[in-house]
Amino acid sequence: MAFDFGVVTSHWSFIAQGCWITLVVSVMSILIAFVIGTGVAIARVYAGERISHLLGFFYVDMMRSVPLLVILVWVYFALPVIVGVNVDPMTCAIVVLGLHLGAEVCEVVRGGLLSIRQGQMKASLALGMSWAQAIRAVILPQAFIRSLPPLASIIIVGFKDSALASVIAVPELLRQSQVLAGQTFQPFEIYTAALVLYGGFLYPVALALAVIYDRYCSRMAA
Amino acid sequence: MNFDWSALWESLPVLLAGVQTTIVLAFLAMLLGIPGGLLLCAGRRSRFRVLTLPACIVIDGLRATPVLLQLFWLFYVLPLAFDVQLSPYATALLALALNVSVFNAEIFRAGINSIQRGQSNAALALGMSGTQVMRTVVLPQALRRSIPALANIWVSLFKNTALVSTIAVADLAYVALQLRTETYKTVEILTAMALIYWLMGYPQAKLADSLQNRYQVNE
Amino acid sequence: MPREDDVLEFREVTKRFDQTNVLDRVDFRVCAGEVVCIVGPSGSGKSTLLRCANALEPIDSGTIVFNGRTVGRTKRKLYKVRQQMGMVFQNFELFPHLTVLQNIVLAPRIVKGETESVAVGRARNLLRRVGLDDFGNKYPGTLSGGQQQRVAIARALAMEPDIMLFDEPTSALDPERVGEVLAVMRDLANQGTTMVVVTHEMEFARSVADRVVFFDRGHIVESGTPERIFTNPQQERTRAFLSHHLSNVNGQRSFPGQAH
Repeated sequence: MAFDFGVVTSHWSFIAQGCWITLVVSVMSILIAFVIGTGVAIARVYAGERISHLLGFFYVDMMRSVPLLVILVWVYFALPVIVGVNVDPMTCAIVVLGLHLGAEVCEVVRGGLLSIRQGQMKASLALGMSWAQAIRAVILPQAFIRSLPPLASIIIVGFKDSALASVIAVPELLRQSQVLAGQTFQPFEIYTAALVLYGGFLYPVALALAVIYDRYCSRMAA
Repeated sequence: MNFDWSALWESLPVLLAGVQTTIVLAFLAMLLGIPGGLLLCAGRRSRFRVLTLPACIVIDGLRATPVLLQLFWLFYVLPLAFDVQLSPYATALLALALNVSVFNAEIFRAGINSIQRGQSNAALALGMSGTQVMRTVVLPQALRRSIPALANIWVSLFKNTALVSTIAVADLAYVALQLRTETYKTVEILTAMALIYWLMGYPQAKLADSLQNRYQVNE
Repeated sequence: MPREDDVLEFREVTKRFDQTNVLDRVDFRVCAGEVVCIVGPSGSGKSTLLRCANALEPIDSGTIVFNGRTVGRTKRKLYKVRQQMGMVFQNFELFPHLTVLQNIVLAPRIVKGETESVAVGRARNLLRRVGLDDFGNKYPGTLSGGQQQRVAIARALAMEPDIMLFDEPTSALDPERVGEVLAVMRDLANQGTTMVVVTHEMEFARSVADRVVFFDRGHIVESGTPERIFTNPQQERTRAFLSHHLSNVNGQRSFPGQAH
């Protein structure tokens, strides 16, 4: 059987557009995930048992129990009917992906925060820092450094999960590939190209994150 | 706004059939994924480059690409490239099992590495052979240590089954999305779907947490 | 009767953990320039006394007065109080994600709002003072325990505190590392720093302290000059404790920088 990868090069700008959207959706949702996840983690650790349980039950465990696809579809199709506001697919995807991934960031950062010795907070307070200053300058950086390996895999997951945006017709790489495969009747070439693009981007990113950790951050962990 | 929740009762049998498919699919994928993971792990740890290289390519390649894309690739490429006709169900199972094998392989590898450091010298000193050490000392402990991580893999596998709806396998997500287009009861159907997933997923997530806690104490 | 030069004063301070009084109506004062060593059995409440002084532990009743102001009335003042008290912990508690220099500079920068150059200049002086000039860019994890504790002392001094609190500063160290930390503390004492030191190093207490306090079961059993406490203790409990501990110390160890 002969394959003709010319179809990929002749449609390169269509595919490149998809890559760009994938990049935007991924990076935005990862940023949202880190902000929300870190915030919720701090709240879960420091704002008392009650708040911790509420956030755990209504946010973290809900996101961990329900498939991303299901949440995405629900927010995109059902939520607008309930609240009467339509959102564009791209915004919807970014927010849902960010919230979903944020739950994982939260659990990792929370584990990091809990692993920091009590004495570090005491030492910070003894130097005259406020509670907030101690968390910002002393506790949180250490929690992040300790959590870097799992956070790196979360970043990779964030890029991969962005492919689900295709389900609500966000024109990212996978969606563009589907469209192209349907138009050209050459799904093998198109999907293989997409596979190579994802892998060719994410594999080096994963390696780079590991190298950065080994070289620059492991010495700061104690 | 009026929602017609009673219509859900009529749809319930269909939804439950979807639930069954979801559960069976996840179960079979894990059943294949454990030996698959061991095989990939053995390949990666092998002394022979002919085995290491393909195992590494499969593991690192699948880890760096979206499951949804892997699913499409298998769905469209298998029939074309290798002239195999698989049903959507079999394709879905293959994709999920492959994906789960890869993640299992990495977990087994970490487990084996963590045991081997201390224990294998002790066993070798007793005069055991390398394979004996692996089979009787290292592997049993490594598998035990892998249990909490495997539980987490199970939780994400169970969620990943929803992806098979995109190639028309009649799992819970698929039947719900079909019902939605047939009945136009978007909010009711989709909320019911989310709720059913939550009812199934929540206990699993909690179980995974408790396994994690239990096994961590033993360290 | 409060005196003019009192820096720190405890008035009938009580602190409870699960029904037991860790501090039981403790009266205690430190005046400017004084070096007070607190000795006593483990678990007697000595460390709690220090942690209550800068409100790391809340007290149940009584009053703590620092520089003429009551500690812990409002949160705002709490930070002010802690800024003027340096504390050194048993486990050093350096910040592992920051270099030695960053450890020392952090609090002056973000708490006092000092400029980088002022804070760094002082930090370098302090590092020289504790004998670690070349260690500024190293991470704490690469230092020995003794070096880490000397950095911790420099870090506390960087806030230019009115009093230094030492919570068993040498208990977590390898025996051969104890001397270098005590030498730094001895140096501080000689320069007139007000110090409260909870310690098991009797030799240090005997040679450096202006006053030694024997603390047991939440009470100050007795207090006085080192000579009085070590050579002529009045209480049976003090005598028993000292006879045990001094036998371990006599002539066994000698410390660099120690006056013989």
